[in-house]
Amino acid sequence: MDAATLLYQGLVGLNVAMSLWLVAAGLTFAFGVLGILNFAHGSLYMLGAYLGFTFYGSLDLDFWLALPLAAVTVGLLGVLLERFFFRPIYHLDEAYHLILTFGFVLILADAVRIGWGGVFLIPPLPSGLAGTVRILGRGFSVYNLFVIAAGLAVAVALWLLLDRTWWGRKVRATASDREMASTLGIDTHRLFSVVFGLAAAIAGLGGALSIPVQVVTPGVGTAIIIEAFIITVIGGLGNLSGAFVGALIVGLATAYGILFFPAIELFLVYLIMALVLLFRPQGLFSGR
Amino acid sequence: MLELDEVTAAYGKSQVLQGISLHVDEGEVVALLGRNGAGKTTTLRTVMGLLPPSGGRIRFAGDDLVGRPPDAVARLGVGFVPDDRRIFAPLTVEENLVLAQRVAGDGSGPWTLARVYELFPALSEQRGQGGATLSGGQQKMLALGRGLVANPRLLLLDEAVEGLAPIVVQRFVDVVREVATSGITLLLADQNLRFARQVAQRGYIIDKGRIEHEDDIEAIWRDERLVRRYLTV
Repeated sequence: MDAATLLYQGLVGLNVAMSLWLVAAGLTFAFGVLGILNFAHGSLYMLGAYLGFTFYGSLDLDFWLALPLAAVTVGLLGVLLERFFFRPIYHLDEAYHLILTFGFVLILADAVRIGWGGVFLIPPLPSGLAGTVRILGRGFSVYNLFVIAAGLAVAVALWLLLDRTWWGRKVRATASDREMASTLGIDTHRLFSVVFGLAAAIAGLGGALSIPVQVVTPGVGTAIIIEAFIITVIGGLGNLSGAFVGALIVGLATAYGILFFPAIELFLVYLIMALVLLFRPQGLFSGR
Repeated sequence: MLELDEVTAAYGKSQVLQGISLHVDEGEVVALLGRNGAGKTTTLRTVMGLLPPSGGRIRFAGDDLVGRPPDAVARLGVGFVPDDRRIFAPLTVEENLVLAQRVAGDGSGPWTLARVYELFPALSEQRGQGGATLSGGQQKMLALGRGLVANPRLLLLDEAVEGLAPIVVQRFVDVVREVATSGITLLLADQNLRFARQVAQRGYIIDKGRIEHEDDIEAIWRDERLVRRYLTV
């Protein structure tokens, strides 16, 4: 096997990683700040995909308008979910968080069945992003390159927002000690709503991005949340850098797994998670 | 400025405050004295909105505080310096201070970062370091500084000098006096009568969730029977 093949497969892995990162980012962000383990986070991704399909595929809106529109719509739904359903149960045990959010997995899956019905076609790729480019002697989809760029852009934007702005410092202070933050004058309820809305919007964006390349079904929410959970377990629950590295590990393991161990490709990811849990149960990047 | 009238509060089923009535006038430094578990911290937490009272009234500068969340109480001009410091570990020393300044309701007033650094040069030297890397005493300084830069009208100061070396305690005495001179009204919760006597004018003695005595701080200091009964361990 030559070096070009190895590098090319790395690019394939990067593409998988960035799609997963867009789901894991919001999941781990919301947990790190609010302490809510949102099992329905994958369902927000699914909703973003359906909305993206409607805006772009059915209503024929411009792709560059459909993307943010889907993200913002899912984000607003996230704000409502946080305000009316999650806020009353923060103080309860995490088991209740899982029960409630799993309830929303079922509700949202049924909602899209009612709203969108069964199967539909994949819309064509947006004109500027169609086709392939030659990389390392092979063709690589321009759209997949765009997904990689979008994932990286979200990572950089989140890092700048949290590390370099006062809003981000407010979020980090509140995540570390909510009570103290509130006694300084921070409206932590409002902050939580915005954080959850942002997390939901990123999932919605990820879903909408998948529309031209992947058939969306009501079951996609549960499929992707499991992968996102694996990523956050590997990276450290609640840690954004951890989620990013975890997504890279899972993405690359998947891509190289297909290349080297096609028989146990799926198993490989679980194996990595098991090893992390055995030797570093708090995840590679511990803490929030 | 602050008035508590028959305030009761409970953690779950255990009644911690049995009916606290006290007042702090503008410009005063008042000490709430008592042993561990007497209800001092709970009283401050109730004023701050961290523990909703089960009965009674709390008024601050004409506003009713009961039912307001802590951030609303803070924006009315009440500051809180907890005994356990509660420094934001993910932020640097300076970020801890600037954040407090930025999220305060008005925030304008005599207390600036420069003035806090002047009072506590150790903080200035470590301004770029993580809040969690400071020593316990420095964290006390940072907690007080964080309370000051918001320029509150009333500062609730819980066990200001607990665990500090005697020489640092003396520094805190000077600082708290300067805070009082700058126009901030203070309500201290303290077990340390020796410290309270150096900064406060008036004191309340709290025991088992009740106010047992109120007097000038010097009168309390001299009343051996009172001190032995309610304050010495």
